[in-house]
Amino acid sequence: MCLAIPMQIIEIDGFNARCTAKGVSREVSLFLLQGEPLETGDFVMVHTGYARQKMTEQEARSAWELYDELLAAMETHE
Amino acid sequence: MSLSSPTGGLTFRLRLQRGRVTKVKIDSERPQAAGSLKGKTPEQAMQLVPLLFSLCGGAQGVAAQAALQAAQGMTPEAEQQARWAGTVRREASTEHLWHLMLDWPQIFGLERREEEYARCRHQCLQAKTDSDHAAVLETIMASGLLGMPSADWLIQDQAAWAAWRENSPALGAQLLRRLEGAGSAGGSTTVCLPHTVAEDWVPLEQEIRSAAYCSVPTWLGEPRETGALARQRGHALVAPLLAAGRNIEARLTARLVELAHWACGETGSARDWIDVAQCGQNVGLARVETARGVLVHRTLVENGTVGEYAIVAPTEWNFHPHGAFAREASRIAEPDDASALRQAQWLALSLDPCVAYEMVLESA
Repeated sequence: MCLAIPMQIIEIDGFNARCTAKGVSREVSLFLLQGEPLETGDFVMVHTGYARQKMTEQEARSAWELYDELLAAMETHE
Repeated sequence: MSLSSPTGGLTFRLRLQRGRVTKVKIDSERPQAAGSLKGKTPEQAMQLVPLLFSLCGGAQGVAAQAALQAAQGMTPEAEQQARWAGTVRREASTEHLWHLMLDWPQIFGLERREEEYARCRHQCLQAKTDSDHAAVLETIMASGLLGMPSADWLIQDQAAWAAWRENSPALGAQLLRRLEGAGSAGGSTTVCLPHTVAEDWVPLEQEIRSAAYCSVPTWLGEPRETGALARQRGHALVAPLLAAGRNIEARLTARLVELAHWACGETGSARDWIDVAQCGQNVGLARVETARGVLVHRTLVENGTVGEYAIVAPTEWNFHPHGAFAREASRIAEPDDASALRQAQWLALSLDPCVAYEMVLESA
């Protein structure tokens, strides 16, 4: 399943952005979201290096809560 | 914790001996995210599912709504089902276009149609009606992918098809020319999932409850291929390729055929895309057709919370340890290792896993 990571934009340079989540930062392409107003501080769903969708901070937090539960469950099984 | 750990990925391990693949192993590190919905309210689960899944977030969201409603004894109204089908189809079209305009050109060293794709994706997702969606698709099909009206392309006879393929400057023809003869070693080995409705999955409902089945699903005891090829395998432009064992070309052509049909406004009924079944007390099941194939959600809702949640996704069918990729990759026989690796990469792309993947060569 194509799980996406919610990340926060910390820097934008054209269609490229530096995004962060949980203290880890990544280069992310914004080219799919052309036409959508994006600025630093916004949250996006990232999959294989591409921002696929803009999301609210609350949505990003909800998704990360679920990921944290998932990761905790994975660690328990390991 | 690394950022990649929650999403996982696939590793294809190929053992090569002078251009011949002698062993294929698929390692999957894909988490069963569905289980984490347990304990949520149905409303929370419906909101969370589209936030977790990226490529097919729309289809996953629709499947979640449909399954959770079915588990609570609700059957979708025709209007809602039609709305869901539209969401799923628009998303499927953007996935097919991504595959054809970005992924395949990149692998062949052609220019990726990024700007054109981004514009078209935005328009597809914003389309309010099926006819708006069809008009957006027809623009891109007639100009870039087919170089002719979709309706004319779909009804070509074999001679016209061969001429288009050989001579057209359209992207679709360029890609097919580069794939000439690819994947034909060993003949046809594809066994596709039949077209199903949600009721067809009810006998498998107890198996779907288990994470083990969801990781390596089978139909009548064997892994099957799902996706555009399974849906279009009987089409006049696809069937001859499949019969000749040219499965990679057949998959690419099947995607073109689907896009061309949608561009003509031929979308089928809502039930072709999404339907639901109730499996006894408090258990709902939804079946959705996505770009990559059939997606099944099964859930149990008890006392106002999700008691069980399971998802069977297309990538688990196509990249099953004994599924289409493994079977076809194991038949690759090329003059040298570099050619064999290229064939394996084309094969993986034709099946289009929805997660990041890497190909690892192991010495014999």
